[in-house]
Formats: sequence, structure tokens, C-alpha cells
Amino acid sequence: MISFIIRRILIMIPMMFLISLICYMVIELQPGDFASQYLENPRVSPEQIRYIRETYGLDQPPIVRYGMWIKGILTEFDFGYSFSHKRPVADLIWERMGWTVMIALTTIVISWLIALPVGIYSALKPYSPADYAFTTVGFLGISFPEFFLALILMFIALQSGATSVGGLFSSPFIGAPWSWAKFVDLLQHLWMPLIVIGFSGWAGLMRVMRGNMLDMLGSPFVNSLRARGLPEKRVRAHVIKNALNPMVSIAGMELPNIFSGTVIASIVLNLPTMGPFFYDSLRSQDQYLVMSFLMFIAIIAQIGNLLADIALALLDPRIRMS
Amino acid sequence: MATQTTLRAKKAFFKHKLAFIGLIILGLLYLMVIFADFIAPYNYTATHRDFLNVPPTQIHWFHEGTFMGPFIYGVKRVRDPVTFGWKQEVDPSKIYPIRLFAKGQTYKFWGLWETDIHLFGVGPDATAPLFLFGGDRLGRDVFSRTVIGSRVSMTAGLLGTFIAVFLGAIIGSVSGYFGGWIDVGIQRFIEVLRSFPRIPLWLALAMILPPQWPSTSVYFGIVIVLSFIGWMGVARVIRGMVLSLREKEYVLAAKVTGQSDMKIIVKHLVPNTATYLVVVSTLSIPGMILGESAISFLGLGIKEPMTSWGLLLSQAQSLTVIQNYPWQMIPGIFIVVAVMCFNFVGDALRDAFDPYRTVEKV
Amino acid sequence: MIQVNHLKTWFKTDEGMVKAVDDISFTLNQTEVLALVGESGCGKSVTVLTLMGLVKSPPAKIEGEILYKGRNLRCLSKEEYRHMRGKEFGMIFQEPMSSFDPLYTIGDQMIEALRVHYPVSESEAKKQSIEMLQKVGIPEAKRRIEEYPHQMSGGMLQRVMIALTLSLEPKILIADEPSTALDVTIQAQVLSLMKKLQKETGTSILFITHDLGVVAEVADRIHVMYAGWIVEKATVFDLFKRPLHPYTQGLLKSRVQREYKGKTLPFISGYVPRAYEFPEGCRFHPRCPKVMEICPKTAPPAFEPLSGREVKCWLYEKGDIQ
Repeated sequence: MISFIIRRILIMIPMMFLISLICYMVIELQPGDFASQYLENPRVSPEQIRYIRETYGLDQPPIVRYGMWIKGILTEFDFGYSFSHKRPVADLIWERMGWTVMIALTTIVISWLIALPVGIYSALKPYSPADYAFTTVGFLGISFPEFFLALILMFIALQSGATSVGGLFSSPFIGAPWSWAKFVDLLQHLWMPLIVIGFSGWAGLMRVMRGNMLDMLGSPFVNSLRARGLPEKRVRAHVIKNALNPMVSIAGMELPNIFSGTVIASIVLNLPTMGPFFYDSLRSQDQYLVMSFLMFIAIIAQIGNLLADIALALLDPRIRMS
Repeated sequence: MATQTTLRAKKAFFKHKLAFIGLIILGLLYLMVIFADFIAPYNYTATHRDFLNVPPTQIHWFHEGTFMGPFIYGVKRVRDPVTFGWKQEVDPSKIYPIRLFAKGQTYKFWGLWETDIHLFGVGPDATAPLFLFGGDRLGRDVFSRTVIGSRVSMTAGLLGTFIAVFLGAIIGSVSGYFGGWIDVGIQRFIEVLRSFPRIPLWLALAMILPPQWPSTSVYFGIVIVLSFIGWMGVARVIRGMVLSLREKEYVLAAKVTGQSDMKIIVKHLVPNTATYLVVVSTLSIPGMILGESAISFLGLGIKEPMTSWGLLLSQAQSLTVIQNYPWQMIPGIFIVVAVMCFNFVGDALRDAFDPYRTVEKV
Repeated sequence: MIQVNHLKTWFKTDEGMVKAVDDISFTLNQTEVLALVGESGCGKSVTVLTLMGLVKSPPAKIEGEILYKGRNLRCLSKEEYRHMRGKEFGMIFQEPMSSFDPLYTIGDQMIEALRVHYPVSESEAKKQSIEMLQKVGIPEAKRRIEEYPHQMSGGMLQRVMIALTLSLEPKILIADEPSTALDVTIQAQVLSLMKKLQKETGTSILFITHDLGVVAEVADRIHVMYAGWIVEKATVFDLFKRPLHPYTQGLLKSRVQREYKGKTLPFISGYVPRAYEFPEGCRFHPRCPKVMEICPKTAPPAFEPLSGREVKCWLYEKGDIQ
């Protein structure tokens, strides 16, 4: 078990290098650089542009810049400098990380809490009206673009008279110290991103769970369990446990998608997470910020996968012992 | 063998009534793509200065008790007695019947011949425009723009999927057939790419397109960006199938008779993977359509003068618009419907061809 | 012990009504081994599943009586039936690997089954299970009880299944092709184990198989099934010495024997009919070498040409034909 974990971690290291390389290349391929946004600006002279380029080291050949960036990360956790915000990237990401992770995790937990029981129920009573209803909602879920759902929810909220739509807090609470009222305000704002991000994930999860359950219910050992005279409740427990196992690996693979969803939702709903940040930095070609952000998410995804694999090994003796 | 599968598949497919409905709706949507200029009563760039942000035009059927067929009332400008600003008021004295094959603005049908006949309209002398879905902030007909927008939205996803599947099939075949270092290298690369979340990666890739590019080049650029993520899933599946097919006797037989590797791949392996390619394509199109919409919505995708449903929605983003002019969000419904239909069809196809769920979508 | 009267189990399918079990009657006596023999698709597995109450009754149509200890099992409620499963009837399945839940140790599963039927503590159940494992010849039972199903070989796991089933002390044991999935040598071991245990515990065994060699080893009486019917009933000795039904004769003739060396093996021409398109009249008539005029028209009843022997064939309408 330990060797399994160590082996996986060792493989992750070259993967992370590859990831950083890809992140770097993607940004490099974009035409122009940070200074390009000033090219059209008549108030910025060519000398100033050249100066900007020199100060930020944008005139060095790509390999050199890549090397410097990696060296910075490995030796000092220095992820580079954000040109537009004039602060180290690491600080900026750190500040926004908290909310991003919180929203992502809450979404995952809530959509799982809803999707799994619904999936199990649908499988136990297939083709019932409830099953059809859930399946239709499920189809809706995977067909709705997240940004459109956000717009619709905002529409509904505005129609029903809500005053503060979007963001995580109403204006009086931003920057205010934590209190019960602030927490309630947060909840009142939180439901929207949760639904926007969670809806499509939930739909997919539910259908997969239902599919797994149906597969397991048709499995030969189910009859064997019944033949022993086990009560149906226990048989169901056995089936559910077997159906849950593949879900764990899915959880690991879903992590990048949740982050994707967070990005769009937070741009539309104006949440204080990495999303709008990433978007702005993309448009201003604030490269280190973009690269680091991409890399971060990719690495979190790798970690998520690893955790999922570990969880799977813990749950499934067949994998643990291979 | 193949005909048995197709027969069984056809039977299972039609068991799904939803898929059938989906297919019909998709057919209608693609008709709309082909005849977009004809169906739209107005050119999508035509502005109506006096009709900014107007709600959908009311269609009436009865005028003072008599049935007249569908028509709209004219509009006259009056001064508001309170604000002294210009206001619009319905003018019941002017009646503009909605006619089929009405004359409208001229356009070129598929750039080939000029005509000014549209599917329906109120004719060029009406003082009030027929805005089925209302008007946007520049006084353009949202309905016309939605119809024209279908061209991009419904085709970009298709093209992207085909390219992705094609690429994926080739890379997967090569990877599976030759094995060894090529295989390992490609697989690792795919694994790394997969750990990137799709949307941020799409956005970053979309930024690679130079801002000076004309609209049509941007379109193809976006298609390529979309397919860039898609090919990996296909490659993995095809590789798996190629790996198992490779060991089958008829491949060995072909090798023994001296057929070149390329020929073997094309003649034997491809037809066997055909059904799966069909399934995986249909399963992936929804993701591509949503992707294009998202990228365009965020302003990194399709550019004016082209338009797509995602782009149309981005113009409806502000709280003011949502609150006061909600009809501008209607293109979003089209996205949902199109994607749902593709999902229904894809699901039914998959039940028909691949009941054991061996294929996962891209 | 068990008396089955005019049992029918029919399934409605797209292709037509599948009459898997079509009006069969038989008796299983105390302490005897009764073999149900037939090729795939003849209805033997469905028969025992119906006996166990494991066939879901809608959608299937079940008619007839199953008399056990004076009660008609078909009148039992689901809950009552469940109580009898395991404790009164035990069942051993063909594939040992798919008869266990892969996520629980064999010990856990044995203890679970025991505690469902008997009020024992967990430690007591564990003790009994270990004893049972030793009885079926599992070496190092104390250690192996903590193992998972996939860690054991097929033959070993089959023994575990026998141990589990017998630990519940059923009066009747149903064995559905228990040795078919095993290597020939293991097969022999499992069969001799079953015979030994049967002698010790006095359980009645209903043994399903398609392998006549196995039948000769273990059975006291044999019932031959074809296309949902029981076509012949006899003791083992009588059947092998002098099979009456043309189908049985064909089966016995087609076994590989020394006298066929160098010649073509005899076989029964034609194919086993699909379950939804049984022939009219006698279901065997298209393949029967002794077919008569009446055979395609009317299905034969069961005749008793000799005492203790039954045949469902028009040849014996007027008694024994010798």
C-alpha cells in the first residue's frame, strides 16, 4: 500500500514538469505579451514599451524565461510576478484560493449528497415515474450551459425582488468581521453558485450511479446473497457498496471539471475566486499569473486523482492486493 | 455481421421516442442553418434606431372583433405629457398583416444569388418592426440574430467533433498498433493534458488566436481549439480497441500475406471501430457546442460580424438587461434544446450500438 | 420431502412466451440425491430458482404447487419465503467467484449468513464458521477466514460456498452445476466431499448437471429434462442400464466410449429448440429417431411402463415395449 502511494507520487514529479512546460508553451504561443496591450495606446511611447519589456524580462528568449520561472518555483516558491497587479503571483493566488476551494468542495459535497441517493433510488425503481422525472432533470442538467443557468437564476432572483444578486456578500458585509448575520448573508448568496456549478455535475453523477447500481443488481452474486436468505435490506447494502466503488475514481476525475465550472460561474456571478482573476489576467496577458493558475489547477487535479486512487485501494481489496 | 448489428441497432434506437423527437428537432434546426437568411425576417446587422430594447412584438389575430389572420399594429411617436420625452404608442389605425414570402431586405442566399424574399415578414413599408423575440440594445431583431447565429453554433460543434474524432482515431490507432515507446509517450501526454480543466485550457488556447484575424479565420481557429481537447478521449478508446484487434487472427493473416501496416490499419481496423466512432461522436457534440458557447460568451470566441448563440448571450449579461430586457436571453434556450436533442440521440445510439457502455465520451 | 405438482414458469419476451418450465411434477425424498439432467436451455436452472422463490413473479408467470412440510410454498409471503431460504433450502451455484461479494471477507459473509438465521454472537458464529471450513477441507482455516474471495482458487472457493451453505443446516441442498466450472481433478474432490457430507448430515440433495459422468457418481435417482419438460424418471442404475426415452438413449449413446474408437461419434441430429419456439406436440419429435404419426400432433402424457419409472413418450402408451 505504501509502495503504491510512493510509486504514484514519484510518477507525479515528471508529470508536473510536463504540466509546467505545457502551461508555459500555451502562454508563449499567444501573440504578443503583457506590453502589447499598450501598443494601441497613444499615451504610451515606444520607449516606454521597450522599458516595460526590459524590466519584466520579456525580451529574453523563451527558454531562459522558462528556466528562471521554474527555478523560482523550486527554490523559493516564487511563482513569478503579476504585471497588472504589481504583486507576486503567489500572494494573489493564495488570497483567492480559499474561496475557490471552499466553493468547489461545498459544491462537490452537496451534489454528491443529492446525486447518490437519487441514483440509488432510480436504480431500485427503474422506469417508475420518479425515475423518468429524475432522468429528464438529469438530461437538462448536462445540457444547460453554466453561464446560461447563472443568467436565468439571476433573472429569477431579480424578479422575486432580491436586491443583492451576484458576489458572495451584500455590500454592507464585504470586509466586515464575521458574524452570524454575515454567515446568513453568505448562505443567501451561496445557493446560486452552488446550483450553477453543481447542476451539471449532479446530473452526470446521478446517471452514473444509477447505471452502476443497475449493473450490480444484475450481477450474479446478488442471487447468491438472496439464496442465503439475507433480508432485502442487506442485499441492497451489499449492492450499494459495490456500486459506490467506481464512483470514487470518478470523483477524482471530476475535480478538474468542478474547477472549470467554478471559473465560468465566478466570472458571471462575480465571485471572489480565481475565476474572474484568471479571465482578466488572460486578457491582459499577465503571463505568470495565467501560467501559475493553470499549473495549480492541473496539479490539484493530479492530487485529486491520487487521493481518489488511494481511496479506491482502501475500499476495494482486489486493488489493494494487486 | 455488420447488417445484423445495424438491424438490431435500428430497432433499439426507435424504441427511444425521445431520441426520435430529438432527431426531428435537430433536423428542423439544421434546416434553419441552411435557410437562415430566408427564415430571418431581417438581416442580423440591420438596426432600427427607434426600437432599441423593445419587447417581443405582439401578434394579434382579431381587430375589433373581426378575424384578420396574424398582424401587428403600427407604432407612432407621441410626446409623453409628463417627461416631455418621446414615447412609443401602439397605433391601431395602422395594420400590417404578417405575410408568408414577404419582401424584406435584400440578401444573398449562400452568397450565390440575390433575393429579397423572406419566409415571413410585414413588408418594407411597415412603421413597426416584427420582432418575434424583441430587440437588442442596437435595435436589432433578436429572432433574426438567433436564426443566423444557429449557423455558427450548430456547425462549430460538429466540425470540432469530427476533427477531434478523426485526430483521435489516427493517434489512437498509431499508439495502439505500434506500441512500445510511441504508445507510452502518447499515453503519458494524454494523461497530463487530461488533468487540465477544460474551460481554462480552452480559454487560454483561444487567446492564441491573434486579435487581428478576420471573423471566419477565428471561426476555424475556435473549431481547432475545441477539437484540441476532444481528441484525447477518442484516442484512448481507439487505442484500446486497436490493441485487442491487433492480436486477432485476421490481422496476423494479413501480415503474413505481406500487407503493409497502413493498409492493415485502414482496411481491417477502421471498419470494426466504425460503430464506436459513431457513438463517441454523437456523445461528444454536446460538449463541443457548450464549449463554443462558453468561449464566445466570455468574448474569447466568435467575433463580430459573425454571431453565435453564446455571443448573443454575452450581450445579455448585465443585471440591467436581465431585469429589464429578459427576452435577450432567448438564444440560451436554443443552446439548451440543441444540446438536449444531441444528448437524447446520442444516448439512444449508445444503447443501440454499445449497451455495455464500453465507450466514454470525449 | 418436497413435492412439486404441475409447476409452470413462463416468461413473456419480445420473441414470444418462453415456457422455461412447462408443467413438471416430481418428488424429492429424504436423504436422497436426485439429479436433474439436461442440456443448456432445458429449464433445469429455472426450476430450482423457482423452488427457491428467486424468480420475480410478475413479470414471470408461475403456476402449480410446491409442497414442503405440508405447506404450499407458493402461498408463502415474501418474508416467510426468505426465512426458509438458507435455513430450509440451501443453494450452491456454478461459479464460485461470482457467488460472493468481492468486497467482504469470506469470514464476514459466513458470519453474516449465520447470524441472519440463528441467534448467535459474532465470536460464536466465527468459531462455527472456522469449524465448517475445516470440515470441508480448507487448510489453515483460522487464517483463511480473513481472506477475500479473489484470493482463493476456484476449487477452494467452491468448498467455502459449500461450507457456508451447510453451516446454515438446511434440510435440502440444491446444487446448480457445482463442479462444472472447475478443473476435472478438483471436480472429483468437490463431488466426493459432497457425498461425504451428505452421508454425515442426511441432507437431501437436488443436483443439477448436464454431465452424465457426474450423475453416475453422486445420484440415486435421475430426472431427465428437455425443453421445459421432464421426459424420463428412473433410478441411476435403471437409467444407465436401460434408458427408455429416445432423448436419453441419444444422450447416453453420444458419450465418448472405447467402442467408438475409430468410428464417428453418434449424436442427436438437430438442435435444441429455442425456448420461444418449441415444436408442436412432442417437443422432441423433430429430432427423434423413433418418431410416430401421433408425435407432432399431441404432446404425450407421462406414462409409467414399469414401476418406479416414468416416460413422457408415446412409445410407451401401452406399457413397456419389450
